This record gives sequence, C-alpha cells and structure tokens, in this order.
Amino acid sequence: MTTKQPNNLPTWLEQPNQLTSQPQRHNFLAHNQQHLQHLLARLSQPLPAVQSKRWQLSPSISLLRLGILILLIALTNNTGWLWVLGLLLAGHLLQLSPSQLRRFSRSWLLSTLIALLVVLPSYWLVGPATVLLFGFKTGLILASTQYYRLTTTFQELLSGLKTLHCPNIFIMTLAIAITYLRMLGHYLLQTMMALDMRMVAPAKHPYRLIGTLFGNLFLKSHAYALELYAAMEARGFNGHYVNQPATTNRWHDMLTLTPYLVLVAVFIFGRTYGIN
Amino acid sequence: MALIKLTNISYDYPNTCGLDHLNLEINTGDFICLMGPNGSGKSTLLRILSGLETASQGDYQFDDQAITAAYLADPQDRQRLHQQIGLVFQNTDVQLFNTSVADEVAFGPRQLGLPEAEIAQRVTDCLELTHSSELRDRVPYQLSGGEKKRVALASVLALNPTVLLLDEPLNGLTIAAQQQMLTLLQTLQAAGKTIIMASHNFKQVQAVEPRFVIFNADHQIQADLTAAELATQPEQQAELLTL
Repeated sequence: MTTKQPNNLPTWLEQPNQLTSQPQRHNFLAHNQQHLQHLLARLSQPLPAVQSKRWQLSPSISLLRLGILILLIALTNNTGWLWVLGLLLAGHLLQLSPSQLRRFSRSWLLSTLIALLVVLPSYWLVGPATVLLFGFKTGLILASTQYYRLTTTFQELLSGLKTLHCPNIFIMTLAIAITYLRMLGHYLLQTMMALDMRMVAPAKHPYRLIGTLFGNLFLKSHAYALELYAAMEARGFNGHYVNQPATTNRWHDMLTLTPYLVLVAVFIFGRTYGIN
Repeated sequence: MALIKLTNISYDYPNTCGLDHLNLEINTGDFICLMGPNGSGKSTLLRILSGLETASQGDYQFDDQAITAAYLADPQDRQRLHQQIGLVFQNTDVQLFNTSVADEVAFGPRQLGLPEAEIAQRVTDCLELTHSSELRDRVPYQLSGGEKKRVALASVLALNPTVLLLDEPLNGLTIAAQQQMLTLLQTLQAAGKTIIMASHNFKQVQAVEPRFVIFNADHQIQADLTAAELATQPEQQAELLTL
C-alpha cells in the first residue's frame, strides 16, 4: 500500500472504488429499522377520529367515558350486559375512518390473541364457559383502550388528566416520559440509518452491533436525562410542578356522557336487586 | 452522461411537503453546495440521494441505475449503493457508535473484508487527512461537536466512496477547521470525487467556487448557478449571505 504524500491524497483514495458484493446472511438491521419506524409512527400523535369541532369531546370526558366503560366491563359477569356495552362501543367505532378502522382491527386482534393466550389455562381449571366470558371481557376492554388510543392525542390525555385533578407530578412524569421515549426512539432510528449507510457488506458479528447500538443509546439517554433536569432547574423548577388551569366541560360533553351514566345507574340498580 | 439524475422528484412528509418536483443533474467530479432556508429540503434531498429515503414521486438514477424502493429493498443492491455514496449526517452524534475513534474509522473497511494492514493504513490516512490523528484512541462519545464532525468524515472517507454527501459539515467547526475541511473537500474533488454538501455558510463555501443549487421556501430549486454565474448576481449573493 502506498502512503500519502504531504498535501496529497493516499493512492487508494485516488483510485476508483472497487465494488464488492458478498452473499447476504442477515438483514436484521433493515428489518428492525422498519419495526422501529412503525413504532415511532404509532407513538406520533394520532389524528382525532371525529374531525368536526362540534362533536369532539373534551379530553376529560373521553377519559371518564373510557374509565366508566372499562369499569362496567370488568364488574359485570352478565353476557347480556356485555353485549350492550359491546354495541355501545361498536357505535363509537362507526365514527372511525376506514384507514383508522383497519389500524384498529389489526392491533385489536393481535392484542386480544395475546390476552387469550394468558386466559387459556383457565380452560383446564374451570371449563370453556369461563374462558369465553373472560375472553369476551378482555376483548371488550382492549377494544375500548385501542379506540381511545386511536382517537386521543397525548396532549389530550394529559389535558384530560389535568382536568380530572390527577397529581401534578404524575402528569409531569408522564409528559416527560412520552417526549423522552420518542426522542430516544428517533435517536435510535437515526443511528440505525447511519449504520445502514456504512453496512457495505453483511456484518460478521450482527449481535455485537446490537450491543453497541444499545450501549450507545443508554449513554445518550443518561446524558439527555441529566441535560433535561439541568434545563428544568435553569428555568426555575424546584421539584414542584405548577399546573395550568383546567378547561371547563361543555354541555354536549355532558350529553355524550349521559348514556354511560344511565348504564352505571342501571348496573347499580341491577346489582342491588340481583339482576346482574 | 450524468452520474446522478433526478427527474421530477417530490417527497412528502406526513402533512407537509419535503421536496416539490425537483430536476437536477450532477456529473462526476462536481462540487455542489445546496443552500436555502431551514426546512427547504436540503437534508431530504441528501437522504434520497443516499438511499435512506425513496422519493414519493419521480425518478432517481445513479450511474444509469434507477434507484427505486424495490432496488433499495434488496440488501445487496443497497450495500452496493452505500459503497459508492457516503453520507456525513448533520447530527454526527448518531453516526459514531464504536468504542474508539480508530475502530470507528476501521468499521467500514472491516465490513468490506479488507486485510488488516490495509485497514490500518486507511485509518491512519483518513485521520491524518481530517487532522484527527491525536483522537485515534479517544472514545467517540466523549468528543466535542467539531471533533465528531471530523471523525465522521474520516469514517466515511475510509470506504473510498465515489460520492460524498455532507449535511452541514461546517457547523460547530472553528474558522480554521472549516477552511481545512473545505480544502480537503476540494482535494477530493480534484481526485474525481463528487461532493454534495448542504450549508448555510456562504462566505466560507464561496472560496472553493462550487456549483450552487439554491432552494426556496417552497421546497423547489430556485437557482442552479456556477460560482462565476453567481458572482454576476449581487442580489442573489446578498440573499445567500442572510441564510
């Protein structure tokens, strides 16, 4: 190999690049890059399902609605009741656009299948009826949360929690965690892209590369955390998070909540008289 | 015959436009400086050229080969493209992941399966060229912003790419280091490399007399001028000085 002369380029750099092509063994990087891209897209703000301002619920009401629905599904063992709640949920799903509905179906089916695997051992303990009932209940709870996740932005979730007087420190921790998670995700994605640019042949030790990537990510997350706290302190943070005033609810928010309140009342009534 | 040919290239981000119907031809040995306001599409263009993104619309041809999503989906073709095109990222933090600067620069040549003696030579040469020899045994993570830029360039140079893409390579460098980097890029151009860089630093870049491709805020190419042509347009120069 010829070494370079002062102010000149080394010979190898002046010669045209000799392209090499080696058989492909692993494509883990491109594969994982796609997964991470999808995950980041999911973490990004979803579009609200109902575009019309008139029928858009306030964040606290939609959070309350989710809470009531999950509570009712969890408490009842009556299949008739579960069908009513399921129909109510189906009514909400009708508001989703076809693309959102497709997204909902995919993630709901997957999460329900995973949940069923957890419920399945009870088949040998108590028989099929319980498995079906718990499977149905789990499916409904997952559908409600998926619908909420699909139609609510993170900002709306935080705003809803504020209105419902959730502890300020909890809201702040959640807000930072969500922002931080996305930031680190983007950092990891960029690192993988940079690695992809220099992966000019199949990696000899692909798993060692994964270790390097995550080691780097850990160091970066540590540095980011320290910088973030320093920046917060520099802006007057003393451990007490000051909340902004909560927004008020509108009349149609209350109107939307009415069926749920009626269901709660009927449920309590049914419980008192032994119907459920 | 142009080395890079972009025809009617558009790129859309969710809810916003990245590039709008771009047409550009770049020949071997060109030194191109992409200039324009923030968010005008310079980095997006570099990512498309490097094969990290595919255009939403239009044709991208590199060395008479159409670079399409299908082409990039094939790992061997993708790696072939990356052997020919090197990219220095704007945020060089993400580009350095090895435990020492020497390992960082050796990463690419090692992938190619070159003999260890040749890898060592390439590492020494690239560190010398980028004035980073003293950083050889340092941990990249602990380097300053300017040092990281130099090491990132060295690590890309070690692969001997035909085309060098640089996203804001002068940011974070001292004036002396900026001049050193531009001189190195000029030397590489003289050796037949194609240099495409995005920059806001018109005053410094002007000295190397590149071809200026100027973007407007509408993500389109507003002007494509040689340094001599630009010299006759004081209004355009004044605009570039404000970027």
